[in-house]
Amino acid sequence: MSLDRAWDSPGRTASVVLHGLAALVVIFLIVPVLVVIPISFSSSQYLEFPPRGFSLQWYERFLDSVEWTSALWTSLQAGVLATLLACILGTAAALALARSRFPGKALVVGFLVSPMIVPVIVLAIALYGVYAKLKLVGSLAGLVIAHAALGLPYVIVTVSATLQRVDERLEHAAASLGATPWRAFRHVTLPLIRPGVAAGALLAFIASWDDVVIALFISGTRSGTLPKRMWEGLRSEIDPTIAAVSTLLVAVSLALLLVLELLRRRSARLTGAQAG
Amino acid sequence: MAPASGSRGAPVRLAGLRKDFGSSVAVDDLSLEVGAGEFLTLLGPSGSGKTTTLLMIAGFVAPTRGEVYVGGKPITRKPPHERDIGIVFQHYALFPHLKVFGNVAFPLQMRKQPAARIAERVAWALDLVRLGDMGGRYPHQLSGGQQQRVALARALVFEPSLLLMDEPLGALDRRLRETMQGELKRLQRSLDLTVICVTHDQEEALTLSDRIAVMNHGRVEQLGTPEELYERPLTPFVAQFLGESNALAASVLHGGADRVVVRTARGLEMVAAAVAPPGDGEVRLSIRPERVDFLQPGESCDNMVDAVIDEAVYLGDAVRYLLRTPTGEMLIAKARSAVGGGGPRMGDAVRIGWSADAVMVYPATAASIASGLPPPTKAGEGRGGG
Repeated sequence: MSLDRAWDSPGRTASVVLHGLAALVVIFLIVPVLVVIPISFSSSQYLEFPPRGFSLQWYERFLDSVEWTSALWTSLQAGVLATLLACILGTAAALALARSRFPGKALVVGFLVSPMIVPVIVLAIALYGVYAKLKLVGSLAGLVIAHAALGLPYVIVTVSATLQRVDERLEHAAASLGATPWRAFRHVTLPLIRPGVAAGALLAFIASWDDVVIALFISGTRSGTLPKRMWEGLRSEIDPTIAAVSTLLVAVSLALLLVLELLRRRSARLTGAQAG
Repeated sequence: MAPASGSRGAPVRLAGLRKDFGSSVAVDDLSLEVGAGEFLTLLGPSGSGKTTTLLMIAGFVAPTRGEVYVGGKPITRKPPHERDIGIVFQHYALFPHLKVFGNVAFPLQMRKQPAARIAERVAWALDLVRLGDMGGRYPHQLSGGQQQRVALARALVFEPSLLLMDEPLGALDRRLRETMQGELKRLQRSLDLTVICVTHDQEEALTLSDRIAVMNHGRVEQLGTPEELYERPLTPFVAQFLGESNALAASVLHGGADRVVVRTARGLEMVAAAVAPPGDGEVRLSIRPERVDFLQPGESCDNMVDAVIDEAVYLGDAVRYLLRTPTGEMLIAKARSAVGGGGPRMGDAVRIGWSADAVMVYPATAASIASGLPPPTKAGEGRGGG
């Protein structure tokens, strides 16, 4: 008993302190984001907190402005197309890395995940140099390719992790049953790695959706993404439309993360069932 | 072809098959023929090259040299999916995301058969393995034995000309194995399947196979019926690997036309039937434990010796004895357990005997399982007494 208590009381104190610290960190991280949300519903003409009254005028202004909606459209196009490209290339790369042995494999892995490690500003400057020569600056294609490179590492990492749990003998079995390599992939491997591909796709989309640095460098004035438009808006016309757009961005990211979590749970349940 | 007629197996020929992995030879100049409708087992310890051989037949490993023929046609350069070979994998490799029906229908879908035909064939295959009502389950909802049967149905549904099996019963418990052995044999006979099976389990090999190829170091040590291999193993390795065996190093004292007299390192002399002329040097002897009998007083035999029972292990249907001869030789004997118990006990002095035919004689240079045979005796020791 006395031993228990001796252990217990400092433990309880430490636990309270730890929880308090954790709560502070969470508040520090989240409050700035949360502040934006009420401002976006403000009836005031200025960015001020706490907001006065409730109004949807800033959302209205956002939807009425061609500048904003075309930026939203560009962001969506770039995000979806870059995600598609990253998924196709990333899944193919993950398959090659998991199922074959070749010299310099570690080097190739490092090279493929480098966009995740190299500072984005460096990547952006490099891309600008190359795109200037290829006349890709300001084009949607250029933006899609750049964002695909940004998303590629996420797809490779998540698909590789899922592939490790898929027995190579299943692919052998499919081949022995008459499936060509493509059909074996299509009907056996892909359904089994689908959770990994989906998770990679969401992360790749968010990478593109959130990017401002690369967009600043390589997207032209006409083909700006939403974050780029916000950056420009902050410098010229400070009004709560920015807050409305921010709230939209946060909402989309949050929704995607929720989907990701649901997928993760579902896949954990499926693999758990297989093991049992 | 009508669904009920089933498939007819094709003959298989392996011609000079060889596989090098870097500097090591996994399979070394393997040649053998499997008749149509024959059940052949490649039996050997791990690393003997049996699985590599299977993978070369299936097309997952490219041979360094040699050719595989199925139905008289070379298939060595065909990719796996064009070979038309059914495979039952170790641990079955069922597709976890497909139901039993989807698994069994898979090879037919790959062959783009019409849906009605697929339904009919899948029903036939599931009935074959007595899982007619399990089509709607997922593999993880089935027991090990049921999964095994789904794997079999999937490998048979497209009527392959050859069925390969990799340790097919290895993951099942003992009772289930015995049932499945029976079912497998029945299916193979009734469908007239050509089967090549890989296993390290001698019991599985003995009960299922028409012929067994015992493999060691990438080569076939001996190819023959289970009875031939058990009764007349050509090498000490085969004698040791298939069943149990007393392995003794000995030297030949004098040879005759049909009999030789040999003496072990410890000085135990015995008569052996000379199957192959052993020359006059060192030999290895092999005697099956169940060929060593306890002699009643007055009974006589080719070879007789007094012994003390060091150890008696009751196995149910038999008792396994460890016997020590006056010269210190240790012999294993196996006898049917007596009705109501009884029989010789530990510490008893007994007289044992075995016929000359029970002693198998091999040249001392013959390969053996490293741990299975005692080290060769020094040349002087055996001859010194004689």
